[in-house]
Amino acid sequence: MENARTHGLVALVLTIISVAGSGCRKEGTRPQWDVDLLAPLVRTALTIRDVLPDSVLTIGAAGSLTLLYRTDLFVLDLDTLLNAPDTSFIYAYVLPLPDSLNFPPGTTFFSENDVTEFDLQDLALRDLELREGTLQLSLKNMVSSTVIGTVDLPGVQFPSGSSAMNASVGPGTPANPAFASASRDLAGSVFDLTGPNYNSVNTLATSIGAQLDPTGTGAWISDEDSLIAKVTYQGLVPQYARGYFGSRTVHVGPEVSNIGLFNNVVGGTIDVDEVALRIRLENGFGVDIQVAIDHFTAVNTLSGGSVDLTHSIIPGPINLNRALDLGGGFTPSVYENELDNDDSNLDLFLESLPDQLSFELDVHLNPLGDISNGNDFLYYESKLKASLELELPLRLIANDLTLQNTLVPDLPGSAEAHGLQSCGLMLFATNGFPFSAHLELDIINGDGQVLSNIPVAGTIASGLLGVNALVQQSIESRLEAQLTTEQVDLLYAGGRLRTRVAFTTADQTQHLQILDSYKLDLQITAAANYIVNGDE
Amino acid sequence: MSRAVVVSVAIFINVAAIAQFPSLPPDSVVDQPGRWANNIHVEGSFVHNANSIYNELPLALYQAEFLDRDLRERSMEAVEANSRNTVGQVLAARVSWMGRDCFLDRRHWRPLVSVAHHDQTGTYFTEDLYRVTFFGNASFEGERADLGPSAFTQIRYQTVGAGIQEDRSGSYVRVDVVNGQSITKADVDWAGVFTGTDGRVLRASILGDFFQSDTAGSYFGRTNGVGLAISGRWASAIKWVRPIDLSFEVQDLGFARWNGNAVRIEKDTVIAFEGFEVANIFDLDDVLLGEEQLRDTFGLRYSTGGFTSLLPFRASASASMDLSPRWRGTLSLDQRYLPGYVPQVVLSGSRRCGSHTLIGASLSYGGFGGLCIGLASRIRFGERVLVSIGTPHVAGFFMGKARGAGVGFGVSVGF
Repeated sequence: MENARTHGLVALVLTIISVAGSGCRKEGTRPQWDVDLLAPLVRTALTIRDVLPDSVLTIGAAGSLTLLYRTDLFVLDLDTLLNAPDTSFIYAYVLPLPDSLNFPPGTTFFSENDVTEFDLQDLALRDLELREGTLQLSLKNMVSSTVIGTVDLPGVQFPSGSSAMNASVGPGTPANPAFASASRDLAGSVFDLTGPNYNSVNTLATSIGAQLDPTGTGAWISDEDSLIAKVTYQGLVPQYARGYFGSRTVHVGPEVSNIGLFNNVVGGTIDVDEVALRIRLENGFGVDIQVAIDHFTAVNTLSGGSVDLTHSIIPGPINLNRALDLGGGFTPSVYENELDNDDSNLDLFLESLPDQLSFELDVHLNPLGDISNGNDFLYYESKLKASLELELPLRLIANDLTLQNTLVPDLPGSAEAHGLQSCGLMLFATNGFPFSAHLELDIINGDGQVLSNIPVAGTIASGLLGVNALVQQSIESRLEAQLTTEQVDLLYAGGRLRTRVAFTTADQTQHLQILDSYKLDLQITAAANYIVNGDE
Repeated sequence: MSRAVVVSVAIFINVAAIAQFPSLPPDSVVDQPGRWANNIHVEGSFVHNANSIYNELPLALYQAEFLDRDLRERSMEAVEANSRNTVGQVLAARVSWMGRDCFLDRRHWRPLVSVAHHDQTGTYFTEDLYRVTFFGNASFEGERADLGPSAFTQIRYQTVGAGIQEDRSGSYVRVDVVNGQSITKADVDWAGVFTGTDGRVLRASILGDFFQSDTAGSYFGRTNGVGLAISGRWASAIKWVRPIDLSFEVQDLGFARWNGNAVRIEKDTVIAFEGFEVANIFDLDDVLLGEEQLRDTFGLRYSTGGFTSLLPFRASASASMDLSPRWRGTLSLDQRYLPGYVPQVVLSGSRRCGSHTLIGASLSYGGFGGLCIGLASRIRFGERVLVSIGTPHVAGFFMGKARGAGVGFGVSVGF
């Protein structure tokens, strides 16, 4: 009995010890307190290459920068001129007697010469070499013997050197016909489309025949028996075509081409000193072409503004000579014209800070008719291409030229629990650019609506200009911004931080050259109120 | 609920040991040593002490509360007044069995088996470290915060041991096998962080080490290390004007070898940080406060590998003598192998009340803290049950601004 009481007491004490220890402690939580932190966050050196990619910048004498922007405007390939649709021709044989006849094995009981004419609309082709395509011979047989069908194209030379193909179909009956088909690749095949008399276009001589199996037993053929052969050309892609391509007009547009030069610019103005735009048209077709530009417009989708380019080439016309056929290849003809701000309104065109180019034009083929006497040509590689090259020396006047960037801060913690409470940001700038910068910070939602403005005190001062209008000395500045607790909460709730920097050149009376050596050193520090363990 | 009550409840439910609170000397009338063939002893203690920060701060930390600025500033004022600040806690629980004599003619030497759990923390730190930890570095703008010398050790381990004990004097020797649950150990010989004006630079210089056992888990029952320890006590009486009972004791003198998954950082370096270098200021999405990047920047990548550490052993000596038939005085001195712990002197007096009760009071100085006044009592219930309870610092139960508190509890059952 005493032992039992002793053991009970020991068990009780052990139990108390084992369960005690967490009595007043909040399970799964850690103590919290707020601290005031002061620390550098990031530093960087900003050059013009951080704003514009290296691929569009060239460095001139003394480090002067020029923006050289190239873009393709449009490309018309051979589909525009020649489109060969899939085409089928059907040939049927029926015994022309109301009786039945016995044909011995090997008898050619059906033979027909035909002239196949392709529907190529305005084109009148004489020669065609295929890059891709398939010829298919399909047979439907109601004759009680195996039949060997043959299609012979005397005007076609297959890569193998032959001009015929065969297909064999087993015996059938009118009630239960037999089917078979065979196909061959037409890549590399050369078509003479002048027909059997060599005086036509788009025309191909075709012979089709059917023979009873020479190793069979022959067959009785009645007027109820028949053979149907179908010849199909499909997936034809020319490697080379020659003929007359017709006198017609292809309308292009209206089309819009995006340009990425001013994507981040959301406001302000620039005044450029000089600018050049080189338009290059390249005709790879063996056809005379005349291009008439209806309009060529700079569009700023943000402001809604647009500027039509005015120059003597608009509406033109621009005449393009035909390419030169080298036999197996070609040399395109090229048209180039350089526009500048003296012979056009190119400066205004560019100063509208477009993010899109809009244009519409007509392409006239053979405006003078068949002056090549049916010797227009094209190769698979032939194209009509238009490209632009913009050359803009970075010598300009900027007034509140505003660049915008939006970022989603990667902050520790969550909307429900985050240590960061409020934060003062200090930005230290050492500016070697000849412009000042004014900074705006906003917290926006996913739709771009401003939820809160973060006031920024101070401006990044311009570098000090020398007598040559180049920056002689970098200038230091300090900016401050304070994020309140509410604004921090907004960022944690999914808000985005939108940064707008408005640049204004130091001298508004003259264009200032931007040099490759210019840079802006930035350092951002933070004075934050932070709750320890607040992210949990 | 008053703060004193909260302190009392919080500490009491964390239970723990007889060894820490003012030890009452052996008393042959109350204890009746050697009377029972078998004896089971359960004890537990928790002692917290500090020489600067007030109890309210560690209590709020323990309770996972939000530490308001006033609370932190109250301890700040005390920290400022000290050149070397110390804090420590010792939590211990032990179950022992002492059996029947089994050593032939040595009838008072008995077998001893003991199982114990230890959770000990000790630290010393500078005023600036406290300020940076609890208020941040902003107030050091343009100045250097001296974060060292500072040290911290927190170790949790269990022991299972066997030995022999002399039932009259309490002398014993015991060898324990150690299960290392976890250890976190930092030793900063020197460290300073300079915060530049407007936070434009953080310049840190540091000479120190950091060790931590396997970070995959440190829960009770996990084995992250193993070791061996020896404990023993020698007690004897010498004759003076009156007989004086002397005792010398060492507890858990040993080591633990922590497994190869333990991590460490050993730094002797100078770091200047002016912000993360970014290639493009317009692409900061992944830059702000990236923990991995911070580790790289400040060289805080761990290396792994096993290491050996001494256990936080305790060495003590005491002398006690009868002052009268009922009064007895004791003077003891002890030292622990824990950062921040300095030799502690305890002067205590005890009085026997009847044949079942012993009460005592103590005055101590040193250890992790300063001057403490303790109370203790040992009461025999019936013939077999001996209950002990005490505290090393009475004021800790009633004053939030006190430093140090603790409670010990023990039950001994003879059969």
